[in-house]
Amino acid sequence: MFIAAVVNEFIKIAAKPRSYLGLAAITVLVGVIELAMYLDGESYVRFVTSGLEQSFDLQGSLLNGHLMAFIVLQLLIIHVPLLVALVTADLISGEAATGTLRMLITRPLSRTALWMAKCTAGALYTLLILVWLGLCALGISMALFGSGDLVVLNSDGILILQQGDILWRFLNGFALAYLALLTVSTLSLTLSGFSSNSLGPMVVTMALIILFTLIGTLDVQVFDPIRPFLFTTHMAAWRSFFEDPLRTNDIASSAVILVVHIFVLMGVGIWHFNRKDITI
Amino acid sequence: MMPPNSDAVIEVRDLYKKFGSIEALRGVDFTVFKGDVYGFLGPNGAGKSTSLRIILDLIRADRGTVRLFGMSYQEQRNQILSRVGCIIEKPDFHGYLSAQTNLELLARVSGAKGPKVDRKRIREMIDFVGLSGREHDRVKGFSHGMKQRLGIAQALMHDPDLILLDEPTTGLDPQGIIDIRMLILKLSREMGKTVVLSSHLLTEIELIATRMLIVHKGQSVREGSVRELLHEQPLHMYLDARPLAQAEAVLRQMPGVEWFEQKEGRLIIQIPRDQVPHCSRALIEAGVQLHSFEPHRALEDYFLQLVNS
Repeated sequence: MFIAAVVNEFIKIAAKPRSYLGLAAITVLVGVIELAMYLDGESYVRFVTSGLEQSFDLQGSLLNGHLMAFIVLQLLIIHVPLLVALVTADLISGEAATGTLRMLITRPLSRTALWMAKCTAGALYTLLILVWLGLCALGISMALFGSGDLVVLNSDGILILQQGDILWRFLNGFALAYLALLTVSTLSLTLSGFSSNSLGPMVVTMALIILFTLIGTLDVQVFDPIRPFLFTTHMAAWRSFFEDPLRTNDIASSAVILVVHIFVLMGVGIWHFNRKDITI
Repeated sequence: MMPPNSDAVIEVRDLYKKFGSIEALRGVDFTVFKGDVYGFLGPNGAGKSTSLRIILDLIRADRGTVRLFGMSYQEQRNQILSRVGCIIEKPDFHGYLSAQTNLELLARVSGAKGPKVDRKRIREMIDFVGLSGREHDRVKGFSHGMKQRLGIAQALMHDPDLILLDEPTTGLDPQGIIDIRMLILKLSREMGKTVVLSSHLLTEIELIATRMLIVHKGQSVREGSVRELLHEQPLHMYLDARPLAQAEAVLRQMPGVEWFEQKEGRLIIQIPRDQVPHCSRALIEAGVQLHSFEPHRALEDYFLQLVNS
């Protein structure tokens, strides 16, 4: 029955026009970035690496498919939560608003199973968005710019990653980014249970991301104790896979904090949904 | 803990529910037996929908117990709901999906025969409610009556033993209202289903219910068979006759006839039921022109009397 409920939820997601906004937005944004870089990428790379030319003798073109995919991910991955929340924030509140939640809850399916089915469908949609972002970023970049070594500028220097040492980093980076997006998806679904219109949970999700990001970036000591535990602090943790040596402890800590967030949010969401009076 | 009644399909005891400072239910008790067409009657805001929502586990009561088929939601929620079909308030569907897809979504989680969708059954239900030919249309283009029919289809799709209908004729045209009434009678008489029907329309309950509960201000006021409740008070008849004074004079001679009142050119009398044929005959024999001699809405009087007291 749980699988049937997940199938149902995914059918509903697939039938809603808003579900394709995210995919369309990613396609357009990646397309615009790729086109801009295709037309004038060399001057952009020259500008970024201008400070390095005094210390290094850079031969050939640094602009290749791997660098492009890295740039695209850097630029877009902070916007993907909005695209995810657009759909997941609607999963309960949208049905409450239209009255279909009433019909669903009177079926022989526990509320926990129903919530979990919505969460699973939301997680699958989030995965779809991320896979599409990955395919667009890596696929189009490689097709347009070809392969090559990846030059990464970090705060503590420059790192050149060999061509054969890159794909696994992207895959692991995507996995960690998925945990971050899953946190956003679970947060918006949990908030969705508290509302009868989908705009509210979506706005609150984005407001929390902005607030926590501000707390994370503001150099104020009072926030120091909480900063490491905010999920937004770990949303860019995927970049850690593009360092050498890998800071595995930091990566593991980010993954654990995100997973704990997911489970706590799931607990709150299920607890509330089981006690929720369906009055509309 | 109340003892389970083997014939009882629904047993509700001492339900209380508050929404903030508003006491929606202040002690609702009733029992629905197998095969009943049970009318749930009360003015708007009396607590009918809240009671039905508690029966369906949409709302949790602050106090009181609900048992369906002798089971409680705490122990056997899924077993209970697999035997229940309902329309609460109004049937709402995903407007962006077709009627058939909406039914498939609900059938997939309706449980009686597992998650597999029985498309033949869906086809039958679409035919049964008269929506053949429109099953592939998006529901957002449906009229209220068509949605109501689709609501009936989803409520019956998994062949439930108990059907709960909350104000099922609201917003329907006269033909739609008649169709729903006929359907309820068919469900009860031909298919042996137990039907609980909530309404603020007295006629609706009077015409189709076998037993009923009157709720007012969140409390059970009276429960019993419709026949019993109607016989608790004398019949009021509206008499249109010429000349009216002569008719009144004749009726004043009849035993048991009382409470004479003239209203809009008609005479209202209170009369024992078995006296109705004698009165008609006496009026005709006295040469009174009898235009009409019809019962006043007995349930309406009874209801108003209970509510006002």
